[in-house]
Amino acid sequence: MRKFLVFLVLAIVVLSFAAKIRVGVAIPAADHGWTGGMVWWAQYAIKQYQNDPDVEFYLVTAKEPSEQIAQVQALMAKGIDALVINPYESAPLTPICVQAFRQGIFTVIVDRGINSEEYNCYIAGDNYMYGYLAGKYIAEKLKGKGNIVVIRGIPCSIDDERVQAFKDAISLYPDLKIIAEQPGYWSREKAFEVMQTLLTKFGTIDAVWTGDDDMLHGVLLALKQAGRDKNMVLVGGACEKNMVKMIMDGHPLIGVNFTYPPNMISTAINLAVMALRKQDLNGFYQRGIPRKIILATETVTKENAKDYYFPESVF
Amino acid sequence: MILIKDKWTFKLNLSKYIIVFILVALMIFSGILSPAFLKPRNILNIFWQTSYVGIIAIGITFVMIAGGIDLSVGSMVALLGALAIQSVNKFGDSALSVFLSILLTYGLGILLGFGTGLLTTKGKIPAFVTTLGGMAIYRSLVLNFANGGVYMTISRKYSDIGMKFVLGLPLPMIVFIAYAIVAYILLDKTKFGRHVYAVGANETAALYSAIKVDMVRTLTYVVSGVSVATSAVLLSSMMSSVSSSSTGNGFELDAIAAAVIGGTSLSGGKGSVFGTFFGALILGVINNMLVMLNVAVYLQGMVKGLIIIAAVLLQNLRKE
Amino acid sequence: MVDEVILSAKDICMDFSSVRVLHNVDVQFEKGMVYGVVGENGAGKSTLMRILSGFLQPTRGDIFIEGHKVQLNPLKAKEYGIILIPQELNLVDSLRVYENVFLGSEVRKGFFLNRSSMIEATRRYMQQLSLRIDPQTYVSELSPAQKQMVEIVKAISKSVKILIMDEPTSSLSQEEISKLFDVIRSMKNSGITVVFISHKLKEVKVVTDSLIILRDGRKVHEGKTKELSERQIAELMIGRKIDEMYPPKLSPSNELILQVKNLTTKDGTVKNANFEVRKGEILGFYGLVGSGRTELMEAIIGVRKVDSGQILLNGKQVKIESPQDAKKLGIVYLPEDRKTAGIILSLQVFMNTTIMSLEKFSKVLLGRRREIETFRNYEKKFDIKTRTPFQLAKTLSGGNQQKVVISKLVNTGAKIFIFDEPTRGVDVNAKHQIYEIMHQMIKEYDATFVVVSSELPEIIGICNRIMVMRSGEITACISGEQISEKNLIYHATGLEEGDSYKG
Repeated sequence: MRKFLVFLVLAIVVLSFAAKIRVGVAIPAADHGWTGGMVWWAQYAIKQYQNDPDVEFYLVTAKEPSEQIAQVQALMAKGIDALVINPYESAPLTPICVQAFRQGIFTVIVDRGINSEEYNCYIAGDNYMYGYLAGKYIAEKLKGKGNIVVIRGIPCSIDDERVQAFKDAISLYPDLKIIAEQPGYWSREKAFEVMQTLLTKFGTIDAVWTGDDDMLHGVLLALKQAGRDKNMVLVGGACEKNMVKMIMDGHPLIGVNFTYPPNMISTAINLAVMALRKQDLNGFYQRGIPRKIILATETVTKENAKDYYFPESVF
Repeated sequence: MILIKDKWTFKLNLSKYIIVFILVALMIFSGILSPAFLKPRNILNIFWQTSYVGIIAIGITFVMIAGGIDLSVGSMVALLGALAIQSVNKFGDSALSVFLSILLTYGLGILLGFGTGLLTTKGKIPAFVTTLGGMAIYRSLVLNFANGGVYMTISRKYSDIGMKFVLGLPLPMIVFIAYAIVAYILLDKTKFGRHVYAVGANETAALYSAIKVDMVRTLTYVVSGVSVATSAVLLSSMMSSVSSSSTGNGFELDAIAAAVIGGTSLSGGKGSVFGTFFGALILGVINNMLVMLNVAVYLQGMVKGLIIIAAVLLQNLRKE
Repeated sequence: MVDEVILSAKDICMDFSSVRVLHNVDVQFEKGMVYGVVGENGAGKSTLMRILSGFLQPTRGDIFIEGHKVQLNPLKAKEYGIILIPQELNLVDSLRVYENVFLGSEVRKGFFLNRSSMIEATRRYMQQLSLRIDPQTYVSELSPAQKQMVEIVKAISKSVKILIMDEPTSSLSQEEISKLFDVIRSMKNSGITVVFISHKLKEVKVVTDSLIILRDGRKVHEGKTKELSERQIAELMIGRKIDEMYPPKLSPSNELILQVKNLTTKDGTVKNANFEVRKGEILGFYGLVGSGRTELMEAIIGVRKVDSGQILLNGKQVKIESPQDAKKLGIVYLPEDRKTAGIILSLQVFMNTTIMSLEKFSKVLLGRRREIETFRNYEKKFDIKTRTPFQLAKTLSGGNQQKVVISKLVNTGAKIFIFDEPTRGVDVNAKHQIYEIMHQMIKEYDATFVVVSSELPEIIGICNRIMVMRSGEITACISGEQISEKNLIYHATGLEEGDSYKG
């Protein structure tokens, strides 16, 4: 009799768990604005399921690769049906992601790829268009003629790809000249200093492109301080909320922004749930979820800015 | 300043001024390669851009002469800057609010410096470890409260401080120079300053000479904390913001480099505010020059490193 | 035995930061002889020996081995069979005896160490010197004397030709010393040349054949040991008649100025110390290394924790928990190790003079002009030889550095001066001057001195009374007629002097 009771209780527990979809979400801790945004969007997406009793989420954030590996191991030990992960670094996280995939966990890799094809779905932003569209916009705005300053981020492969794309777009216009290309290390202060110096060096600067919006804030400050905040085209990127607000309010120098959306994590979470529920994507003739998705870089202007403005987000 | 002018003292002074010659040489070199470099406006900018790290470097000079090190200054800039901004936001946009916020910032700076000092002296933890810990802790606090985002203020009164010009000179530059003068007097002309040298040069001898070794050491970290607070107020008010991830990043290394270029010994007992002031300016000139001459992105580290090593080498050769 | 010169040096000069510490020294060593190299502290003995064994390169001069000019470094010197046993022994405490003996020249069997053959060889060497030390014990468990012996065994294992021993007896008991001398003699008999560095004349007299006397970096005498009396050696070492070296003793008042009662330190290095000092007195403290002399002084000035006991100043009990407290009460300390605790080498000399009394020069800002005037004063008074007040202390000679340290203490206005080895590493002339300064201060400022010294002639020559310490306790107070080398050594070691030097 007692044995039977124990069995009953165990069976209920097991069954009730089995009925639920369990999704593990592993992302880096907020160590700058963009990752902060990703954490916020992950929480946001999870909150959308709060009235859905059949889904359960485990969100973990890591400060370094080894921590993230340990977290994924713990998630797997706990038992998850899907893993949504933005790997802290590619190489060290590859084995654990592959292991998850081989155990039949639906594995979604977000933005930073792993060194293996063994995963279910990969979703990322588009670094090339991020640079290319900025270049194209500036070229058209300047009518193909003028001097451009490029303040890039921390020199690395992502940054290289964006800058190269920017130059590809510019190269279609022979009268456009990049008069300076300096690193601003994705820092307001550094960008301020660089811009201050370039303003003394060059009498005419027609356009400035910065690798992200944070640096554009620094550039704006330098321009204002030098009294040269007019007749100039300024472009940043990644849609930091204050920048989007400025566009929305009709800033005279900044008319455009380009997405590299941290809410790709929200999409990834939804994709994982849809896959486990065997849902298909609307408009696709194929079944299930695509294996590789590169999100389009969207152009934000005064007209559509309100759709990209999330005042509660940290980014 | 010095009564007796014989050949020997003259020689001593000459080796002290070599750093000025290095600075001037660098400026002439840059001026030739890019005439815009020597525009008065650019010279002001260099002072301005140098001031944040320069003020911190002066504080770190005290710590290093006393035989310590402070790696926490970069993160502390972010923490103190964030505190200043959050307080201004809380108290509202008034002169009193700005004053209170600055007071709070200095208070925390002094407190943190005092804590670091106590941990290293009474707790007998090596300064490298204490301040390395501080570096991680302060940064993590700043990141945590902002979720990796940015602390911002729209207070006009506060942001005016960092952008102010007095007599045609940017306020940060004026503060930098005034700070250097006060620090020079403190280190060179007071009992405390002399004790700082004694403690760093020979701790045991200082102890037997009835110097309160632990107290002197602790106070150097307080000086460092005050310097960081000064820099944090200037920097955060100018930017009207503090980025939890990037503000102050690498300041500790730049500040230590400035001190070392200026002749401060990593093992204590040697150094001067004069040297650090010019060491910081040399770094500022290098940074400015890299942009002015549009040096290729990936080569900048090398150019910077070579000039730093050359500057220290030149001074050493002169001493032989 | 033939007169076979195996090592010689010609015209050796040595400069340390532009201070010359050796002046044109010529020496030669013959096979199978025992040489004594004597001189006061700072005479240049150790420097010369470090040059001969390749650890230092002379500024000038040549070294010859069996007539051939050579350039020495420590490895080369070892190849030639020249081995130096430094004062601070070079043993690894955490290794066993045989491992130390064969350190760096381990015997192997194939890839592995051949332990048994190394242990056996070590045992053989031990027997050769009739020593009884188990090759397998850890060095950390040995006494200082046994460690000394292990160093010698180590040297023999490297087929030593010239063994240089720097102050080997400084931490040994009389019995151990005579054991060491036996070993030296047996080495001599097997054709090894031994160079014995010491400033203890008795030992030198007993064990050496030939003598080289150094004073202030110059060789002042060379010859057969038996031709000189102890007194003559001493006078050659200090360069003047003994009576001229020490100024005639002053007689102190009867007024007690400092009393120490039942003082015991927390770490047990000093047990139940009792003594008193009279105004104007020079009270000596003698004892072997580790006897607790320095530790007692450190306890008095507040750098060593006191467990129990009282200190009375002018009859009133005082509390001293730090050098600051001591300074306020007018008690100052001259540490035994000048370079690490006395002078601040990288500070300018005038700053060294004023560092302990800066409050006299400042309300808020320091009056540098007055600081320099003060230094100039002492410069004249103490005959400190400097080029300028702004030169760094490290560029001064030992004697001048010590005078600067003394000026630092005097300038605090203190009345009680505790001098720990005040003339260590100081040339003879400066030594004499330091004694004069002490007397001058007693006469002019009512100063009182407590002097810790391990130099017998000095402590005998200047002190009114001498306290002797052994293993942390004061074992005797010797005064007046009772003051003699014999008496001091007896109380310091607890052994009757005499038969231990038997040949």
